[in-house]
Amino acid sequence: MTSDDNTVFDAIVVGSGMSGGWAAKELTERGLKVLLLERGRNVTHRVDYPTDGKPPWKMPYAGQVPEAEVARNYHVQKTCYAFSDYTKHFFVNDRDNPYKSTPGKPFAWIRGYHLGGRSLTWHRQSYRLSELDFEANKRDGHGVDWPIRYSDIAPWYDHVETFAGISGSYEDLPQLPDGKFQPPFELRCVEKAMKQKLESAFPDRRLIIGRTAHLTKPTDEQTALGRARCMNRLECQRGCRFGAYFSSLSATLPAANRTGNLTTVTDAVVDSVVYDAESERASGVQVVDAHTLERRKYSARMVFLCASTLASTQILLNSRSAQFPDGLTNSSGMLGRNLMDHIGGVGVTGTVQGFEDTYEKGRRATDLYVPRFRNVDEPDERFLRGFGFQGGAYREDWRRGTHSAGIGQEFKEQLQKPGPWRFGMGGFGEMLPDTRNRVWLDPKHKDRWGIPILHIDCKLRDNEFAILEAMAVDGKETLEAAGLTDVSVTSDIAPPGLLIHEMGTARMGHDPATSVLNKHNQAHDVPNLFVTDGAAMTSSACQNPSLTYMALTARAAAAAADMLKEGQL
Amino acid sequence: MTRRAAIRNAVLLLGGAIPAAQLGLLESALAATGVESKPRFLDPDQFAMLERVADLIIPETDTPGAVSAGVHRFIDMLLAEWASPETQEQFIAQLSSIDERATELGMSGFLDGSEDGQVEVVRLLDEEAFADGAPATFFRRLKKLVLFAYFSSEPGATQALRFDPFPGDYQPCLPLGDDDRAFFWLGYSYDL
Repeated sequence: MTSDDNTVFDAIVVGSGMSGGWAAKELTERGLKVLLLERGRNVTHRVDYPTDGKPPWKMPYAGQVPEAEVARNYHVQKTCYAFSDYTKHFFVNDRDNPYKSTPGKPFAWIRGYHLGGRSLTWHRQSYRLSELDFEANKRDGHGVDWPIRYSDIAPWYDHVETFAGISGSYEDLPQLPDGKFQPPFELRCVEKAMKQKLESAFPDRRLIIGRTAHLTKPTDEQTALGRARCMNRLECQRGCRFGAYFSSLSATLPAANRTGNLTTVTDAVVDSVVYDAESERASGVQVVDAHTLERRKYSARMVFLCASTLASTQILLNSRSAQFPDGLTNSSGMLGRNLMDHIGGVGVTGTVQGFEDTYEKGRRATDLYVPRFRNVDEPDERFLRGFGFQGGAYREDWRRGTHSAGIGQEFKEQLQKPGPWRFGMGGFGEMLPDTRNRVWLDPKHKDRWGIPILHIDCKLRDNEFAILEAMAVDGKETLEAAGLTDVSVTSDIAPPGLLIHEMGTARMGHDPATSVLNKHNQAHDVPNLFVTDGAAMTSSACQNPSLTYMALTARAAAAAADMLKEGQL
Repeated sequence: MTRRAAIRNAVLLLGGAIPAAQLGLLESALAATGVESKPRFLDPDQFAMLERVADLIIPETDTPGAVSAGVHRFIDMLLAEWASPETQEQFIAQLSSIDERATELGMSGFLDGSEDGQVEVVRLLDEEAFADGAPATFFRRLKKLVLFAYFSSEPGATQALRFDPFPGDYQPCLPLGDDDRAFFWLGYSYDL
């Protein structure tokens, strides 16, 4: 399919990552003929994971990207913890994908443009939002009220967890609802001891195993899709030949493909959504071929934007017409506003005494989670909302030799043995929705595909800084209560974007005057247009958001399919 | 021992005698297999100094040392292919600080020093580099390069450490014996 033709699809899904894969699966399984558009190259599961299983001595520079290449192509992407020579092919080239940020307000836009998107490189932590989160905006007046409550999305969390495969433990915490879990990964001996101490000192601070999208006990459905249980390699961001972690390529796209209803076109950069003024509907999308720059249109009865928060927003801002001069479905003026990320960069580490005679085998695919414990039962006077911690215990390895004195035989022999037990964790805090944190199209600068680039203007404000301070204080107190010594805090506050949970720029809400999407992720202004990636988020909570994007997408797709059948679109 | 001397010794051990011209051929043949090759970035003296320092940091024990793991060759290759021009210049400029330190200790140069003298130089550089509040020194960077190159090499990861590419089950609380080695793990990314 390389030029305009007369095919009218039931739905076009833009983007093949976390959200797009789900939209494709749910819509095709309901019998809709779907066109999935991906701006990047094709990636074939297993075949195109060139570094999967490669030891460092089989890599040209043992996993290091040449310095000049980093400087030339990856000055933003290099700031992501997972960027290396093993994974660079799953990160965009910054030179070809420019954006601007306001001087003094850096924003790290970490991206992967290829089939599967960032579902290949995500950290796989999977947490539900709770009633506390869906009520938050209404309670303290920041942002607008979510148009849904926990009970609206709970069955969809069930649905996506069951298919994706989330391992975790049942904890019965109101601020972090349990889900449909596969067996949890186990705690290390050290972590069990820490947990006991912490939870007896602070009953409201829990140290639980992370909930992660890894198969520990595959279902028949997962096995049928070619997925197998996790081998504890912890090399996930290279792609996993076992399909043990959830990605579009291991799970949703194979499911969509087997319906026979999916057409996938890669290297197709969506420029804009085409709006038909007569029917007041989206009629399709305008696409630019990534290589030839040839422009073409695709037509459909509905459009799902799942291109990622900022990319979907950019497409809508660039979809201008007489009816929508400031961007499609922007009658509220909220398109591009309320940009949020999670806030972090505060780390706490300490030494665990003892346990020298214990070790572990395997590289556990998740660390631990300390769920939010502030502003849960009692208000905290320091700040609104909350934060959690993620981290784990480890025995130091040879790397300790790079910051300690010593040479020769004794030094070498020390480094061959595991070092002392340490524990480290980092905070993930909630960012308030604020209309001043926003993006717009740069009027002067276009990218190589002729699309105006994004200008991002976003910064942390008082409540975010108060949370970061509290993370340091509470984090130290938490690790000391868990029995650690030499507890120290490092604070290297991350620029927005770097926690790679950017969201909020086409928010859901009850009121078309103050929000872009309704309770079904359906554009208030354009009934057959849906946005189901992070752009839809009305508040950020402090939990990793991907699971919520999955659930919102599946829920929206079910509603959209019903509306299409009933002739409402 | 120079490469040529090593080859001559090997040949003698095998009971042979070999003319000098053929030693050259043997050397080229070895180089072509990648077993041994001339430095690509450093000059022969710099390369020899790097080899010697790496050997002193990670000597041969019951497991391979830095030299038999090819750490000096790997670092020379990194400098040739991976390093930016700035890193290359800095490395060359700062490598001479090792010679300067040797001169201060009364040697005519690091490579000309006795084994004890060389150990003394490297120990001194190491102590300075890791003293409390010490600024980031060249030796610190060099030592990091050596450790990274060694432990991410096949001998380093699989013999000095334990290498476990497909763990399978996760065992969270394994008893550790006195002689048990650590498992190799590179992390997500490693900032050299």
